[in-house]
Amino acid sequence: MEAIELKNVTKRYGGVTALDGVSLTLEAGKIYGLLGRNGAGKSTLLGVLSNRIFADGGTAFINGNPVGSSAAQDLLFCVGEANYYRPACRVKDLFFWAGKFYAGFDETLAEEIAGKFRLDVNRRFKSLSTGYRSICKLTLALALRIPYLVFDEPVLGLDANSRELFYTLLLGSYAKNGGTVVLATHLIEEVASLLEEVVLIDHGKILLQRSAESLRESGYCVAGPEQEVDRYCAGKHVVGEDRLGGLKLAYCLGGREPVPAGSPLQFSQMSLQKLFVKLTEREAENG
Amino acid sequence: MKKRNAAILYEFRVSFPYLLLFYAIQYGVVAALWLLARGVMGLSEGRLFGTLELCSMIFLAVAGAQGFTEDFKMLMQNGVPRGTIFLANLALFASFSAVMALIDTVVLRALGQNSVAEPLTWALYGREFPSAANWLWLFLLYCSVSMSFYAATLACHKIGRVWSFCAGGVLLALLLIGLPVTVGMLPAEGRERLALFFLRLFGIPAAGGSPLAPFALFLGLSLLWSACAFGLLRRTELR
Amino acid sequence: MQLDLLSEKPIFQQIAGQIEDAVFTGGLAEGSRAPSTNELAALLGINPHTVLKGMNLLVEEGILEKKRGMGMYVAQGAVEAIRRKRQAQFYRQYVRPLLEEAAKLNMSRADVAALLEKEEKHGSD
Repeated sequence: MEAIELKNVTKRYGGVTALDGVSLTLEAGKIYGLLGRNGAGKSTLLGVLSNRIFADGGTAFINGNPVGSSAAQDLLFCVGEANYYRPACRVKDLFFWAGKFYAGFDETLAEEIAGKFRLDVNRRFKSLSTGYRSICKLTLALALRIPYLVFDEPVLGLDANSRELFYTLLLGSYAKNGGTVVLATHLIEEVASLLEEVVLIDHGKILLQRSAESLRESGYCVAGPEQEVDRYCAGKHVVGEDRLGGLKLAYCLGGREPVPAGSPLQFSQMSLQKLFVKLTEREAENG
Repeated sequence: MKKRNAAILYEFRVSFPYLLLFYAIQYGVVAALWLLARGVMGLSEGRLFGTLELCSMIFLAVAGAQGFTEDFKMLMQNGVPRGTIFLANLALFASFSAVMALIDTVVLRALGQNSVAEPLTWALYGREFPSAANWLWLFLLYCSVSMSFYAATLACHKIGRVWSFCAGGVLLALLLIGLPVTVGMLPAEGRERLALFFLRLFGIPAAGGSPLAPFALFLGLSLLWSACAFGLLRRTELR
Repeated sequence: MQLDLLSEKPIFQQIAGQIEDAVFTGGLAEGSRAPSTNELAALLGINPHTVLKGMNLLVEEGILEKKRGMGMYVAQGAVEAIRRKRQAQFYRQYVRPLLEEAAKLNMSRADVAALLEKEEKHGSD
């Protein structure tokens, strides 16, 4: 099967459970957003997928190959937050080595992309600024054709121009070569329009997995007098509430029910970010 | 296959310059000291350099420790499986050991002829020790040294910095205080037996040791450390 | 081209609407090549599948047509098709909301009609 499949994956660090029985299927050919707050378990999940860390329990497969097998490792490339490249290497040497390790790496394309980012390929990795180290890592990933490309907080420390350029290049390469992209981030608004499917993770558990389009359509806010709002919300999936004076705002997920003409209720769309914040807030209250 | 070849190529490209640098420095120092001794101080007799092999061992120890820390990250980032990383490291250490054993055998025996230096094997087994055996003896010794430090670095990484320092401290204390004290407490007969055991382990002919003993010892140690390193590396996380 | 992620309208419908506008106002002439999915996706920072969904909507309505291996083109008669569609939607999209709002403001039909007449005479003020 062309997919990443996790079954009941658990990972503990001492007394902290970073991943708590995560089961997840990421089908090939989509751009996924793995969204979660800091410490939600995003990085741990990607670490398990890229075989950098080991799960304490459960199984993980990439296209049917167990994670850790060389077949699985040839299918996935992970750009993490930490820098693992040899600090003394020049950027162009890193390109050279990527070409040696990956059949799908295009050195000429890498030089081209580096030019667009104004990344000096003759600099040593350790002499680059934090932002340019990120750019260097992103360049290495963008010039690589591989079925699964996984990014952990890719744009942290990048200026607006570089972020824009990264998203444009990523979409261009995705449109041209296909493949599967996973963007793990807490900067939800920024990636929202790129995503085809959204996976929300919190406290090491998957809160929900939905297509971005359906989430956008099904999340809404209803505002009005408290009693009216409560009456409307009865039996609906309410993810959060706010109060503004006498006005009550309820955040709902699901189909919108038509209200009779003259109803004091007002409806508005809820952004992915708002939905996410409300969902994780509630989780914190319950937990 | 691509990953394996690339990993081995990477190991050699990155580490080989250090080997050249090491020998350049070592023989630069040797030449300078020789000139100083012969030319300036006018000494014309006597051995100047005892155990240049020890320098090689220190180099290999550093290489063994370094082999993990930096290369592991770089190779992991490039999707090389842990088994392949181990293989590449093993290939590097074995090649380094082979090349260094060859250089040390040839050069030190040549210098030995002029009494400038003395090969370690001559000091232990006498001048009749054959050159091929000399190479193999050094090769296996170097392998066991580099692999032991490689395994030790992996173990340190596994148990963390604090416990590594504790373990190192305890080990050092045992070696520097515990061992002499224990030996000192042994009866004379026991001490003699212990000495004899070690002499035989290294195959010293005067102690009645088998000439094959040191080869078996170094080979056994190399295999043991390799197995330890492999077992540790397979369970090492990249964080 | 401007998209509103917070609009009630799904993004793919917004994209379809924008292209349709461009065709209707003559920015994209009948028979000319429509922007490719990938160009639009990269330009707007939108998932290519979403863009494609929007363009397919226009293909279904006969405004765009696929040419094998050459991408999407604006169909002949697209402008007329859009006009017919918009005429059909005119009541629901403009007249009904107008009357609903008028009702909330306690304005009679006659008031609305008078306003329309005034608009016709003097233009907007």
